[in-house]
Amino acid sequence: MKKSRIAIMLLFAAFLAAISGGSLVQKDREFSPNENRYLEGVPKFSWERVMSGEFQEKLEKYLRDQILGRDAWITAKTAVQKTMGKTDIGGAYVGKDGYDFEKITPEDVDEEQVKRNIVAVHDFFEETSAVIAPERLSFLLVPTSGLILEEKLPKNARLFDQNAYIDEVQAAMGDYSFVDVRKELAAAKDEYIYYRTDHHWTTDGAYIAYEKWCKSVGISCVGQTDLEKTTVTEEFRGTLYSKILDADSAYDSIWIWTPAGLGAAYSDRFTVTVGKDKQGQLFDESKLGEKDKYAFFLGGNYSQLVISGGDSGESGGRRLLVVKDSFANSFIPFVAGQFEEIHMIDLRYYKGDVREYLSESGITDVLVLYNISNFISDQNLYRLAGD
Amino acid sequence: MVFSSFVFLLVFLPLVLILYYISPGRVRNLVLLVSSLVFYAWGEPVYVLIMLFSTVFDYTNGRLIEYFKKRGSLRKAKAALVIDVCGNLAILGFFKYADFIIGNVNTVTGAGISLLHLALPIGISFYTFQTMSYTIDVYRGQVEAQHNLLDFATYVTLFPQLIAGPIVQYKTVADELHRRRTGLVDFSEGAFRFTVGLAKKVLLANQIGSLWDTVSGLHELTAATAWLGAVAYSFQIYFDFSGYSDMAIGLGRMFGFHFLENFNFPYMAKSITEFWRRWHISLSSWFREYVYIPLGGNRKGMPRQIFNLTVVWFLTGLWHGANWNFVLWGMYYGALLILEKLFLLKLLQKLPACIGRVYSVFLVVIGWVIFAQTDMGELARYLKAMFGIGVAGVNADFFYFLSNNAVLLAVLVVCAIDHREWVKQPAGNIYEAVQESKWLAYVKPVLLLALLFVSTAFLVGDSYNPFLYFRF
Repeated sequence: MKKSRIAIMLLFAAFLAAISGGSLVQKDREFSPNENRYLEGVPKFSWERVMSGEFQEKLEKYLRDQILGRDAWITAKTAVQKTMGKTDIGGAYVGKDGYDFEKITPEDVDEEQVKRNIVAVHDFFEETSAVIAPERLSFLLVPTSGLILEEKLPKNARLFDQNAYIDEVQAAMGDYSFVDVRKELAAAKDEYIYYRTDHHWTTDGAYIAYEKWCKSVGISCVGQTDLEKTTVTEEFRGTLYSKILDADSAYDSIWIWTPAGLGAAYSDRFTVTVGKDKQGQLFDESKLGEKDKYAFFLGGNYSQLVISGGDSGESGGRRLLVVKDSFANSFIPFVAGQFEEIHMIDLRYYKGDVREYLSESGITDVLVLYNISNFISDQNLYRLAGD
Repeated sequence: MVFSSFVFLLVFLPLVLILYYISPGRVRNLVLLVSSLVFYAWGEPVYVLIMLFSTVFDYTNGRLIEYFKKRGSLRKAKAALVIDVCGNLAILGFFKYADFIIGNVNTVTGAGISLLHLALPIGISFYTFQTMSYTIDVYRGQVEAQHNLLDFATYVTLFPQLIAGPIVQYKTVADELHRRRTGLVDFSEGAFRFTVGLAKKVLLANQIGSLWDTVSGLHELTAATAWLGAVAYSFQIYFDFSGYSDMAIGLGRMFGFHFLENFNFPYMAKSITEFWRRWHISLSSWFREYVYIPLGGNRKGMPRQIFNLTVVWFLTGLWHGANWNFVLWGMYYGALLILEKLFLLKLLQKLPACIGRVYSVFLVVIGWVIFAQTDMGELARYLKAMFGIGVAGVNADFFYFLSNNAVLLAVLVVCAIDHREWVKQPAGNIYEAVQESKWLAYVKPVLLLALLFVSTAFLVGDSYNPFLYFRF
C-alpha cells in the first residue's frame, strides 16, 4: 500500500508539474493551422481588467490555447469520443466512409433572418430588372453535403430541413432564374462531389451546377470532354477536420478541370484584380502549402475582385456580377472564359453599394451564388437592397 | 476560480501546494488564508470584501457569545447570537433575494419598484451557513469560540469548500484548524480523490450535460426525448455536484483537513427519505440540526411535524435559488417526505427493494426537471412533454440522441451504482477485501494517471464546462 501511495503522490505532482512547466517553457503559438484559427496570446494586465474579470477570462483562454501538446490533447479527446460511439463531435458530424458533415440543427436557424434574406435577394432582382433582363438574373443555391449525401450521415442525425428552405426561396423568386441543382447533385451522389473533411463542394460538384446554370441562363456550356482533370493536392484537410480533429481522418484531393494541356497554368490567361489594384490569381498555388488549401481557388476570401482577359469574343462583351460566398470560388473557373469580365463580391467584406457598382461596371448578368446554410444565416444580404 | 479550470490546475494549485509544504506549521494557515482570498477574488474581486466582513462579524459575535456566557448573562449571549444570525441572513437576503422579493412585490401590487440587479456573490449561501453553524454551536456550548482570527478566517475562506460546498460545520474541523497532520496517506488519498472528482465533473457531468442543453433547447420535444433529457440532467447534476464535493474533500485532505462525506450514491435510495440522507448530506444535516430540530422536529406530534417539514423544505428549496421553481422543487420534496412519514415509507419497506428504487429515481428525475427549468412556462411545457401531453411519443431525434450517448449512459449508470450493495458477501466483505488487496495497489496509480490524462484532454478539447451553482 505504501508504494502505491508514493506512486500516486509522485504521479499527481509530476503530472501537474510537467504540464504546467512544459506549457510555460514552450514557445507560444500565434496560429493553429490544424484548428484554422488564431490562438489567445498573453493577456494584458491592468487592474481595471482584473476588476471587470476580463483578465481572468483571457488568462484561462490563454492557458487552454497554449497548453503543452494542445493538438495531441484534442485528437486524444476525439479518439475517446469516437471509441464511445459518438458521432457529434466538436460541432460537426462524423459520418460514414470518412465523410464529415456540418451540424446545423433546426434550432440553429433564425426564421426571421431567412425571411429577410429572401426578401433582400428578391428586391435586389426586382430593382435590377429595370436595367438587366430578368432571365439574366439568376440565383444558385447550393445544398450542403448533408442533404445530398444523406446516407453517409450518422443514422438519424439532426439537420435543418434545407429542402424546405430551398423550396421557400425558389417559390419566392418567381420569374427570375432560380437554379435548383438538387436533383443533378443527388444523381451524382456516389461520385466525389463534396469534400470529406470540408464543407465545400468539390470541383466536380461545382461542374454539375455549372452545367445546369448554363442551361438556365442560356449560355453555352464547356463540355467536360473538352477539359482535362489535374489534381493539385491530395493532402487537404478542411474546415470539418478542424472542428473534429480526428487523427485518423481521411485526406481530400483538390483538382481542377481546365482546357487540355494547361493544368493550373490556365490561370495565367486571366488578369485577376483584387480590390483596387492587388494582383490575384484564378488558381493560387501558394495556398496549397497552407492549411486551408481550398483557398487555392481565387486565393480564398476577398471583398471584391475582377477577372478579365478570358473572353474570346463569343460573349459579345457580357459582364457578370457574382454576389457570393466561398462556394463560388471553385465554380467560377468554369465560367471565367465566357465573360469579358467577372466581378465577384462577398458581402461579408464588401461594404459598398452593390447597385451603384452594377451600373458603374456595365454589368449585363447577375448571379447570386450561396450555400443554403450560409444563405439562411447571412447577416449582410440586406445591403443588396441598398440603403 | 473553479477547480475544473486551467488557471486552477496549472497555476493556482501547484503554487499553493508548493507554498504550503515549504512553509513551517505556524505559517500554513496564513498561506491557506491568502491563497483562499486570491481564489475567491479571482472571480469576485469586489465581493471578497463581503466575505471578509462576514468573517470579522462572526468572529466578533463568537467571542461575545463566549464572553457573555462566561459571565452568566445568557440573555446577552442570546442577543449576540440573534444579531449574528440576523446579520448573516440579512447579507444573504439582500444579495440573493432582494430582486426576487421586489419582483414579486411588483407583480402582486403593480408597484414597479426598480430591481437592484446585483450579481450574486458566489458561494455566499455556503459560507453564511457555515459561519452561522459556528456561532450557534458556540452558543449551544458544543464548541469553543475561536480566539485566533487567522484560524477562524482560514475556516471561513478555505478555498476547497468555498464556492460549492460541502457545508463544513465548524465543529468538524475545529481541532484541525489548530493542529493537523499532513503526510503521505492524506496527500495520496486526497490527490486520488481530487482526480476522481475532476474526472466526474469533466468526463461524466460535462459530457452528458451537453445532451441536456440540447434537449432543453429543442423546438420539438417528444415524450421519449423529454425523459432522456431529464435523465441526462439528473446524471449531470449528480456527477457535477458530487464531483465538486470529491474535489473539495480531496483538496482538503491534501492540506490535512477531513471533511465529512457529502454524497452517498443517492440514486441507490429506496425512498425519498433515504435519497435525502444520501444527497448533499451537509445541507440536509444543516437544516435538520439548525432548523428542523429547533422547531421541535418530530417530538411535538404529527401536525407540528408536518408544519416543521413544510418550513424546512420551503427554505431548502429557496436556498437553492431565488426563484419560484426552486420553492416548488422544495415543496415537492416536502410533500413527498410528509407522505412517506404518514404511510408511504412503511409500505415501501414491505415491497421489494427494486420497487423502492424505481419509485425514488422516477420522482427524483421529475424533481430535477423542476429544478432545472427556472422559467415556469418552460417547466410546464417540459413536464407536459414528459407525460406525452400534446407531443408525439418518439421521433428520430430520440434515437439519434440515444445512439450518440449510449456508451456514456452505460458508464454513468455503472458509476452511479454502489457496487458494495451488489457484491455478495459470503465470508466477510468482498468489497473491502478487494480494497485491501495488492491488486488495487497497482491499479490505483494507473487509474489516477489515466483519469488525469483523459480529463485534461477533454478540458482542452471540449469547451462545454459550465458552473452550475451560480444561483446557490
